[in-house]
Amino acid sequence: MKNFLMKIILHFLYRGIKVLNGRDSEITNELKSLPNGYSVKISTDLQNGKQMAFKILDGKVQKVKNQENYDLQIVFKSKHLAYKVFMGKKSLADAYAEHYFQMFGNIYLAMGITRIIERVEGYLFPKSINKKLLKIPFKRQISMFKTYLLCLF
Amino acid sequence: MKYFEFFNPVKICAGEDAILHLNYELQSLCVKKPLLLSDEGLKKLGLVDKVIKISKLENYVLYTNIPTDSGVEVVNNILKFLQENNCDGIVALGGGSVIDTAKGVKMAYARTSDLKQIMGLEVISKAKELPFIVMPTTAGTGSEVTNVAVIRDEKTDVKMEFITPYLMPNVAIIDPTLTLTLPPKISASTGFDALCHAIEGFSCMQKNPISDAYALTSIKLIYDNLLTVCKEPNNKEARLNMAIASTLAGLCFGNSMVGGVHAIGHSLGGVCHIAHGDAMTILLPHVMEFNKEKLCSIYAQLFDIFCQCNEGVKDEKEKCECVIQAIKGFRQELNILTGLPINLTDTKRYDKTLIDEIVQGALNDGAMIVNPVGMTIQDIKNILQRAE
Repeated sequence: MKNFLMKIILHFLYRGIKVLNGRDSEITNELKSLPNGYSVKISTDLQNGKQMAFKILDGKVQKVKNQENYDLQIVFKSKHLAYKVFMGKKSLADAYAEHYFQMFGNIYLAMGITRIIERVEGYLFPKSINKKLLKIPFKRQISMFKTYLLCLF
Repeated sequence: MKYFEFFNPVKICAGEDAILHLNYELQSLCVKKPLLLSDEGLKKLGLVDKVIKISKLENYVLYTNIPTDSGVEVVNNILKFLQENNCDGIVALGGGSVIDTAKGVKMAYARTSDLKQIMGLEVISKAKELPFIVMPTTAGTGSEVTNVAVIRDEKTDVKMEFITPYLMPNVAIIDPTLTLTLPPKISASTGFDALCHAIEGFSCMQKNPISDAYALTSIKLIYDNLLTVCKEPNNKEARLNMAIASTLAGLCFGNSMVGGVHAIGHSLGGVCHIAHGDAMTILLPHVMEFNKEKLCSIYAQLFDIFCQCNEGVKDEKEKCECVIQAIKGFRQELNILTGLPINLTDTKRYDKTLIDEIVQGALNDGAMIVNPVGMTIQDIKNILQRAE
């Protein structure tokens, strides 16, 4: 069940990054500041976890499949730990502090990706969860409803 | 409830004549031909020869061509030199740059892959071991017991950050005679760096009961000894206490990490070339002011160390204010005594026109994510303005 849920959440996370690029100024600026072709892969477990990968090409977010090397890889040490993060029980900053995942790649560039993920989560989670998770007060530039609609279609 | 990890496998040999234990430690690690790494400055000061003579080090190979801002190329050259000379261990004698370079050599030796392939957080797993002994010559970085190394890629000018337990030394030799030659201003700057490690380690998101114990002892030792070291540079007891305090702060922040002061300080170092210890001295009270609403109760716990005379203060908020004021006062005393800069203008390196670059660097620094209070671009600009 957790694996199934994780697959859906990772899909929404990818779609969120894609549709909010150009609609949320901070996400757009963060994506623009990354090198062209920069690729990211998130795995929810050390072995057989669900995976999501994308790259930024000419300012656009594209899904990636079967690429050998990534500029940044975030690998959770257990799917149960990843579940806590993606279900909004633990912030990404707390997960970083509590050794939930390994991070392969340039940490300087990775920080931009963590801010993007936190912001996308901010759009996908309700205000009550955001208040608990986010260190900086979050203001949506488009509504949660519209975000979900854009993610779905 | 939070999860935490605390790891430190480094044997610490500290105190009078600790240098005399070097040979034994090498022997117990089965090192027959160590590579002694240091820098030209320490060689010219005669410290390298002194250590070799006192420790009666034999059958070693010396390498001192390590610049202040060491990088991948230097690491690769040393690795080649180590292999050509059939060395089977490293002794790093120096400050942060020498120690970080030695950590780079240890990593490069363990992994045949390019260092760029193993950048990141908790990436490297246990591999081929190279015995590694550290003898710090400054009391500040705590690098002798930390799992962090920053190595520059000269080609791209990217500072690569490595965070992994497997680059830690086997032994740290802490001998007060190694820091006796430090001028008062550098002693003050590096000492404040250690204070900053301890205070940030005591207050940032990875803090835990074990790192707290190290932090509190470190802060007390620094507050009780740093002024003495600056007034009496040859006071061996105070020097030893500062060296131990620096190691304790390293044990703390190596596990609990550092926060906003370091994130902004690293960026000021990278963009304006402000010395790390100076940046820490300038920024610490300002970032504490920024964090104080959330961290009031944590800062108030330092009241008994910094404000022994203010017995009447009971309120947590007041205690927190007293602590921040006491740190400002401590900084002021060091400034009068040694000329330690306490604002960015004093450094003569701060360039206001580069503020956007500094802010971006601070936001992207790995330490920023563990600062307990989120910082926006405007928050960082405000802190820099107040520190001007």
